[in-house]
Amino acid sequence: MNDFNFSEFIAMGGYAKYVWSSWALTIIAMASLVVSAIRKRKILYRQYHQQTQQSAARKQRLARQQSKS
Amino acid sequence: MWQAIKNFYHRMGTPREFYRIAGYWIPIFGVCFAVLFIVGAYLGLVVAPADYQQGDSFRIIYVHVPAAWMSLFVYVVMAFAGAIGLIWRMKMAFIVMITSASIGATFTFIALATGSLWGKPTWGTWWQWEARLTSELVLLFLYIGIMVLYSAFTERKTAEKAAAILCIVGVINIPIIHYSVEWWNSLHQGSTVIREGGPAMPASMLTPLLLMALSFQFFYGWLLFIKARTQALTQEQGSSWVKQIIESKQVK
Amino acid sequence: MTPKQKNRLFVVLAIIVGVSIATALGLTAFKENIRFFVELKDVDAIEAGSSGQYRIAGIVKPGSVKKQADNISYQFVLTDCKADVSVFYTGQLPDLFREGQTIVANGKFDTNKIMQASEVLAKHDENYVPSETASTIMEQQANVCIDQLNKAGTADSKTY
Repeated sequence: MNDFNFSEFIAMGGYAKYVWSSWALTIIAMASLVVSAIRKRKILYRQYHQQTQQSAARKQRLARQQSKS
Repeated sequence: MWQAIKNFYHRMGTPREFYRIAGYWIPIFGVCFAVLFIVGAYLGLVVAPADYQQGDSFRIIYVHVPAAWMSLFVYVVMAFAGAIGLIWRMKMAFIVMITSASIGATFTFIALATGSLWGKPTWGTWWQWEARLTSELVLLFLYIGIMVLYSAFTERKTAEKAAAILCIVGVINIPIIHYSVEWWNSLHQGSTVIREGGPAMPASMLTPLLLMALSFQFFYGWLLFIKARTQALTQEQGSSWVKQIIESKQVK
Repeated sequence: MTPKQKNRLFVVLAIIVGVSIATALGLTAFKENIRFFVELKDVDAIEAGSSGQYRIAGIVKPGSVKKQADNISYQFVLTDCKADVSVFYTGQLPDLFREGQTIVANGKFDTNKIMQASEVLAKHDENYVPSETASTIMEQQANVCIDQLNKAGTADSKTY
């Protein structure tokens, strides 16, 4: 690409706003799918750990109460 | 051979095996997607020559057409998965079906929105109620309908069945979308790539289109595996293999 | 497959067949409504000066485009090689509007059977050609019908 001209490339022959908004929209939509997938996974892990911590704490409390009585 | 396919099918049908096998393929699909997307975008936006009529506006084809193809492909996958789930009560089939819905809906949205952005300068309109555009819009509503229907039930097994039936009923829209430009006169032109007598496009324009289409396929496979794995873990919480996996992960 | 699975397979197939038949019947019944435009050969049947709104499609006849004195109105002829229809339009034309291009015009027919278009859309074909190599060959291909028309003599192809 010896004759590559950056400003010409950005201008897209006068169709810049249509071409670039199409490409940007596509990339943003696909990226948001990825972000939501990763977030879902993190939420799953976090909830699981919270639950196991809570149930562990409950067990400890129960054990303490039993040893007191 | 047949036995091997059957074995593979049964292994992929169990969430635990699916989790393991998908985990192996996720990085491979991710890399294939990224490389093909970058090469395809470079060839499409920089190297491919401008069209003699449309000029540079035709470069929208490289996101519009792959997204439109994927919007149909994902739906067919969902309908197959739904049918398999209904007939053989396979857990993973329903997971594949329901996790595909948001991906398919996004591809449909991309196809509609970029089509609109392409139609304005070339056809002279953002939107027309013609056969191709309307049937693609119906596809978006089908995807949304499947997601809403699935989430409307508290009982998961009922939700899966209802969503699968809607999915199978809606598959009739797929040939309608494809043939809409042939059966009725429409504003949208006929197929450039899939047609008798070969593609109506020179290789310099066609290659980036096929690369982008392939990259979208890998994107779908990659994201589907990630989402389906999460869904499998969520549904199988309580079984020991899930506990093992989640406990091995660090949470920030 | 167990008998139960066979039954369920049958139900799934029955759903697909049922929906297909229903859709096919529905689409056949509304075939006319799904058409985006009226073909030029059917324009004859439309009464001049009728109040109906129509979409027509045809090729812009080369040499027929006349820019009006106000600079934003155009009169041109759409043809399908057999029938011609004149169109009058005020407004911006789409980028793909050119002679030999297929155009969809939306409007009403006045008493002279000239379409007063409120909207003019360009219909693209499925061909993509690099601008550097798009020679006259391509133009000739696009204008096969126009060539036939010219050979047939201009007497038949009267305009407005």
